[in-house]
Amino acid sequence: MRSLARSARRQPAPLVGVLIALIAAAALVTMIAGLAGSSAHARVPVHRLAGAQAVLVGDQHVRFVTGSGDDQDTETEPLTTYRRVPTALADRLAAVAGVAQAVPDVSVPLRLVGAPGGGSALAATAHGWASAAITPFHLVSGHEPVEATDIVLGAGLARSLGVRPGGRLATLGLDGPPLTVVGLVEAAPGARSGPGPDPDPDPADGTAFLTDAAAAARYGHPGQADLVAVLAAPSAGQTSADRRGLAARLRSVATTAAPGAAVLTGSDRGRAEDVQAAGEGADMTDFAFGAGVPVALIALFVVAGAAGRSVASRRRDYALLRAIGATPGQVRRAVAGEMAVLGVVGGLLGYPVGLLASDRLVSGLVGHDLLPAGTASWSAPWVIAVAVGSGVVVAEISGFVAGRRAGRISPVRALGEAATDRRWPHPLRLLLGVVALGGGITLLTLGFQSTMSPDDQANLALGALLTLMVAIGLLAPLFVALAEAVVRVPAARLGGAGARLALADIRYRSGRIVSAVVAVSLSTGFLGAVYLVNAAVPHADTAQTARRLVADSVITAPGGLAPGAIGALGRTPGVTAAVGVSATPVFLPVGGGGSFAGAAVWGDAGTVPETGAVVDLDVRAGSLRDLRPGTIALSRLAAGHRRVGSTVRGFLADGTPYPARVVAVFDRGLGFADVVVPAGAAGGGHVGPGRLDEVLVRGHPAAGSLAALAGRFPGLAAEDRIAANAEAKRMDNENSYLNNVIVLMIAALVAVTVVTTLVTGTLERAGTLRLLGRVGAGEAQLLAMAGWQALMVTVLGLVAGIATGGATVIAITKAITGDLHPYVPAGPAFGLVTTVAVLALAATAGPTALVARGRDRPAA
Amino acid sequence: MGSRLETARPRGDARAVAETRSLPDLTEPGDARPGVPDAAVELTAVTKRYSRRGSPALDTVSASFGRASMTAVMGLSGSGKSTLLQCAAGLDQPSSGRVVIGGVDLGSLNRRALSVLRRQRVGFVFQALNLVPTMTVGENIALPLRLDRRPAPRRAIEAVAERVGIAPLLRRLPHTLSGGQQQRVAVARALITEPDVVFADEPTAALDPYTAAELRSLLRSVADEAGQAVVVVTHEPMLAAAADRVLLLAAGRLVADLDSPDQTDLTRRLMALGAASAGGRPAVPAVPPPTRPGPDRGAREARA
Repeated sequence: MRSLARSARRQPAPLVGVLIALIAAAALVTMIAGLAGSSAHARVPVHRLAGAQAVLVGDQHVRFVTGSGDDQDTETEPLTTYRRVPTALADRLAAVAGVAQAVPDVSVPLRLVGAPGGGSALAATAHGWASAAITPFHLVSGHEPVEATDIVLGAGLARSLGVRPGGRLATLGLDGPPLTVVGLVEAAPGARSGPGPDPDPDPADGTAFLTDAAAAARYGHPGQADLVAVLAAPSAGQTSADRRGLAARLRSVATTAAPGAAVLTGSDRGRAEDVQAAGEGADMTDFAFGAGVPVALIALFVVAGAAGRSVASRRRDYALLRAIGATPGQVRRAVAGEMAVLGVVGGLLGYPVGLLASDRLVSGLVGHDLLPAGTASWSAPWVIAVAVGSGVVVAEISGFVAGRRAGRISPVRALGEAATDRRWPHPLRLLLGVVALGGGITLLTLGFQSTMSPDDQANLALGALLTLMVAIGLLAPLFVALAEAVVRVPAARLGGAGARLALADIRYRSGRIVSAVVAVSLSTGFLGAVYLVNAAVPHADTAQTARRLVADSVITAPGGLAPGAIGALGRTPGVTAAVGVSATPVFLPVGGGGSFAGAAVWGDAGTVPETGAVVDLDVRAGSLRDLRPGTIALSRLAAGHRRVGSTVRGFLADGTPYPARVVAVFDRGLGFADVVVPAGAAGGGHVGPGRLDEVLVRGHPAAGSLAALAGRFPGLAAEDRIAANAEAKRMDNENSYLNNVIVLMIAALVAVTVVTTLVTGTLERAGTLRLLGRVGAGEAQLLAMAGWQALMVTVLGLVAGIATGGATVIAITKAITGDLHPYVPAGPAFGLVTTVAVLALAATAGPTALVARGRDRPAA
Repeated sequence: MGSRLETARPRGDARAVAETRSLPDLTEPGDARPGVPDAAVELTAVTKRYSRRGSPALDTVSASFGRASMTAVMGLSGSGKSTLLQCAAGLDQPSSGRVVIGGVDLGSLNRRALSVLRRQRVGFVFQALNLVPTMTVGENIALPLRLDRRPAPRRAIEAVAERVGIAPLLRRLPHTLSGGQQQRVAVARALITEPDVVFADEPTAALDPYTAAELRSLLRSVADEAGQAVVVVTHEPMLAAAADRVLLLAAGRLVADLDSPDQTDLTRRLMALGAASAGGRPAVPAVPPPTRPGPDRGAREARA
């Protein structure tokens, strides 16, 4: 209806709220699409492997097969350490035409410090000298390593350590003689290749070289390597066709010699450059798609509310059209047409906002090590179509109910001067609301069943939250009407004319207040639940850690301790037990297959670690004393339906299959691990680089004994009971940042709707406010009226939101931590309540003050 | 009275035409009112209740409105005038009884067909806030045609605007017009589809006497020159005196049906109704429906 379109242009105010909500929704969709694309396209820059034409690595995924027959599905999870390959492969690859050299490469993490009494320790990765050709590095001073204690440093690393050829370095945490710097190397200029912002990190800043034999010995896996780098003969790498041909020949050899191995070329070599970073990029892609669903749902709520208010504010116009002869279908199509146009405009305007937000978000994720360094914000021209399309879809779905309502407006309303809203909700709406309320309560009740797995409990609780949000949206008019009836008399006595006016307005024109109450309860309930659940986990970490640690001392060293430290500590007078612990991911077939935070426990060589003597995991079934190779202990979360005695077929950190019998199920794993495996699992050497994060000691070492041990294991130090689990802390930081991103996204949407609903609603009543002014209401009384309404919105919204969100938080907290008492930090809780109240008051009182000042002017 | 179906003008909405064409001719010999050969609108025992308890807003009212005539519906506030107009125009559904416009029983139509019939056969002038505030005068006038998906030639709009005296105002927005000008625009919109009947609800209530007189003349000319039925709800004796007939309502019942009333007589009757209502005594009893239409019929007075 072109005439209506023209009229919408002349009086856009009713549509502004919808447009703002659509811009916000389209911006969020664009941001999430940008994040997903950036994550999917994230490539670790190729630096150290720049000189290799191709790199062969083992299969960097584990696979879980679920279902059977036609429903069979395979889930893959990326590994974050190398799946080792046999060094014998290098000989076979070297025989391929066009290959000049095939270098098996091992990586040995070291923590170096100038000896004796040098400055700060620095992390470095040592390789065999043959690997220098991969970058390539070339000597700028000194000579290549010859002796087992010789080390060649990258020039940047040497500068940072303050050493020169001839200097000595200690390797923290390791038992052994100091290393002698015999040379310095620099990377060839072409080594800084691949994506990423300038300046690229210098590969010489963290690289060191030992003799091939010394590196292999420290690596600890004879006959194996992390990867095989292939250097092409000069004639074989000139053209892209040559390079493709070489890659094909290499793949042909790899397929037969190492099934599952991958030959990586070009920018794909980045996946071999840093396997951990490559895995985290995939996690962010999953997060982006996972976050998209709740954001889309809330966007629908928000835009639907704005669309409803827009139609309600023009009901007299629609009634006039109906009186003149517009059919209900024509009115519905007019609304649908408006929504389509708004969707397109909102999408076009939201797209650049979303691009900017995506850019900032990717930078933040890179800064928090959640995406590989150098990951650039991704976008493509077709994303604008996604933004516009999402705007139109959200607008049309949201406008569907509003359009039907507009089509049903009675033409008799065109004759009425003062129209009032329906006081009590439509019976169908009541019925649906009651059904949703009942459904939400049922889901919550089920979520509290301890017979269900924690995963299922948490999922049910989230489902309950969404269902209860729908119930609030449907039953809000009833809540508002009941609340008004309850407070009418006392409020009138307490608040005088302002309260009377406010409550009369709420009683007979409740639509605006209902929309605002729904927006406030949505924000409080959903935001509060997301925030509090994610705040509960680190809080529970800390609480559980305090109860879990029964060791008297926690022994650590920068970069980790050698396993030999366990025996040395165990034999120290005064020590009754010593257990080494290292964080390691373990992949289990739970919920389709996933990675769990695991802990490998180490006893002295050949002995079963006395885990129970140093940590109290609150074992509910079985015993940690039975933990030995071939067995596994699981938290309630990881165990799911499994019991002591059942077998679980998982994978260790390097992808080694580990079928294990469950010997214990425990409850106090937060901040420690969901899975505990013996370090000797699957023959040993599969849980990480062979360094201990800490050794937990029971008893009190004799005076001076630790100092003696520190001489043998440089950097060894004892800490208080509070053991820092570096992996858990890092995860807490990750979760905090991501949680803040989710909360900010949703908060932006909801703040938009609260403000636009109240502002446009107040301006709609400008005529009434002016009339009150002309009959004698003062500005203070009008502001008091606005204040009372803002108070109703705040109180009702917060009560509804806290009731639904609070129940969900309790259910999820119980599922994750086993505790029925949720953690509610006072600061954020107070901040949320205050922010809602201030927003509601400003959005109501502000426009009221504006109108009140012009109340002597004639009404429009 | 016959059905209008066989003389249907080309309609823009083919589906609506099919719907109305499929309806049976509802007139029967026994129902025909002798002397009412061409009633545009006919109400038969129409009752309207807004709640189960209390008096009905309309109580078994029967009336007919003939073509080429102007009928005024009068009564005190709350007498049911506007309710009668709403039911007669198809804006509201009566609780019982029958309303027929141009031979079509409104009770047999669904909401959509009712909307189509309203825009093709009924013109409406409200008391106030008649116009879509964000459309120009020309767009407001053309609105019924647009809704019916019919062409809205500028010449046709200019012609009807000229007829009601607002031709220079076609590009103006409603809020820039005076009350009288807005009412004229509403009349023009009501006439653009050449309806069977034009309903006007207190059209002069907010106008000064001079402007009200102009509008009165305009409505009179619609009946005389265009041959349409004009039904005006009013409490102003001056406007009612310009009508051919006056129906007097009190407490939802038809209490008088007057031919060629004069202003003084109408004022006296209204005052008597008011006094009777204030004294708690019921108003004059209802009179039976008229047997003859038109100006030839003698006046009937209810005995007090």
